[in-house]
Amino acid sequence: MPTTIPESRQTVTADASRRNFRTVLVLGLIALAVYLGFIAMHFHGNG
Amino acid sequence: MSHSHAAHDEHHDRAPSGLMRWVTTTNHKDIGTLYLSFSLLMFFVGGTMAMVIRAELFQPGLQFVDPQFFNSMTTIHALVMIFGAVMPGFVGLANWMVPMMIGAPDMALPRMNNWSFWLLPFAFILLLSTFFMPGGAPAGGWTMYAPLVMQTGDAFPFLIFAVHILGISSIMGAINIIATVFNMRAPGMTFMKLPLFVWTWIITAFLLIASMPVLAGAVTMLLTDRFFGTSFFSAAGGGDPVMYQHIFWFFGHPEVYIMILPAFGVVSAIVPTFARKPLFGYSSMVYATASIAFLSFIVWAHHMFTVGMPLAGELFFMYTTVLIAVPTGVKIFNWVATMWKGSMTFETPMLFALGFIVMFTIGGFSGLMLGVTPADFQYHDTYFVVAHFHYVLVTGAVYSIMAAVYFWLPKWTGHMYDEKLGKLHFWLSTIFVNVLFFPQHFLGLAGMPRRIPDYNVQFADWNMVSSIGGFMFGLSQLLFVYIVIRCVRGGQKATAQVWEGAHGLEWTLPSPPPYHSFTTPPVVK
Ligand SMILES: [Cu+2]
Repeated sequence: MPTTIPESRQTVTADASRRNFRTVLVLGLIALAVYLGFIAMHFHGNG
Repeated sequence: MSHSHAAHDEHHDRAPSGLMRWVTTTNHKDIGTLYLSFSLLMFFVGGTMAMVIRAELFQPGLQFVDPQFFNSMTTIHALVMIFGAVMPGFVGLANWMVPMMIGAPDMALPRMNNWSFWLLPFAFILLLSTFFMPGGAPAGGWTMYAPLVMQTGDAFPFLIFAVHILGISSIMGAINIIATVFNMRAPGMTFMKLPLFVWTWIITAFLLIASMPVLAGAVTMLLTDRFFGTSFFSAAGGGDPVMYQHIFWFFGHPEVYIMILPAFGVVSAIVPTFARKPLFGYSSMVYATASIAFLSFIVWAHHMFTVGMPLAGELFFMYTTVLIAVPTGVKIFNWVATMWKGSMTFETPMLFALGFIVMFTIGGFSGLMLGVTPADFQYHDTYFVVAHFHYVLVTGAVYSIMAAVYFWLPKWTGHMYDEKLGKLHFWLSTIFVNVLFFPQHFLGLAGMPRRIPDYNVQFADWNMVSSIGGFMFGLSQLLFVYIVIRCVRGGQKATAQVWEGAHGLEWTLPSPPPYHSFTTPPVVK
């Protein structure tokens, strides 16, 4: 039987999938914050 | 699982064949294989550059390449080996082993996993294409120090963009590993039951998430300094070139632990297997790894002792640096204690693991010497530093990857590799890697600077010895490729457990393991 369900969904339950999404969101935002934060904190005096 | 279901799985998962299977794969084993193959390819690309360097340094004077090209060789050799060979090598091992070790069917985010890998070839095409550009490839050193890096020609934005892509790839890989371990463990697999390889990789992943954005920020600032009129690192515009070094090494020191913590995990898996004893001091290993990770963020300026810092700064960074010897010593002690009174055998993985313990410790000791501020004023920017970090990275990180490949190759392929040839590979590598790097300590202490294509005649003898070691070490690695290819093609069938002393979930699966590692979660007691 052909299926269009992606492989990832076959093995990951909906609950785990939600947790995975939250994990990606939190860690991704941390990475983004570090990136922008490091640039921002060196901005002074650079006109 | 019923037979018809299994057949359906096979049909569905393996639908695309040939090249498209590898381009579209979301399977952790396929992606692990891609990472490891890419790592091996980059190991030879970077290795070829090392051969050019050693050929030029075989004798004093300029023989083969002009100084600008020589500087490109050292710069790109480092970038290729760090971001192309060592890091993808460990990510490949994590992809293959982490889901199997925690009892999961696959990585938590399989499609992101695919993207993490496929960014890499594009980043390296960008980086390596700079050899054909006006002004040549970047030649200011892999650290990309401002203002020197601003002399890079047309290659400059390509370098920055390549580093950005590599950073994105690493961050996504790290997030994937954390999501997998946090959310996909089998029932009963508590954190303090995780194999050390998984532990070291979680901690590495957090280091990546905290430090790669700092590198991305640093190179973004280089980009805006060059093209958008900022002067973060330009004194003429009120900026500070030394600030670049601070930011770079705030990334750079955690980066060296990113390349060595997974190696600790590999050795912690191999030593108990071939000593036939459980790992000594499991929980102290976990805490030592975490301590090293924490300390790695407060030692960065030991790379900058000679730029001129307040005395308090020099002292602070010296003390924090030598403090890292404590948790590292805990690890070495635990490995030795694991072997103590064990029933040891010396198959190839164990030989590489033992080689790691001895020679990584040599690199650790020379690191301590460099960490002592007043001594560093003598050693700074000499071949002593080159000797130090090659002991840590080649006989450390690369040896652990070799050990891991021999250790898990029978699991991956279902075949045993040729043990005689494996041992031969180990001994050839170990003899010549020391011929290659040990004399560089002498050269450094005698005052030979790094990153130069020509040198004073007083350094001629040891350079010639080092180059011969380099050529022979490089040649010995062809044997490794032969052994791996032969093992993939066939050979004696491997059992599920493979090694008599092997314990853990990954060894309960058949060799080779099914396409989805654990479709029903195993229960861990
Ligand atoms: Cu450092």
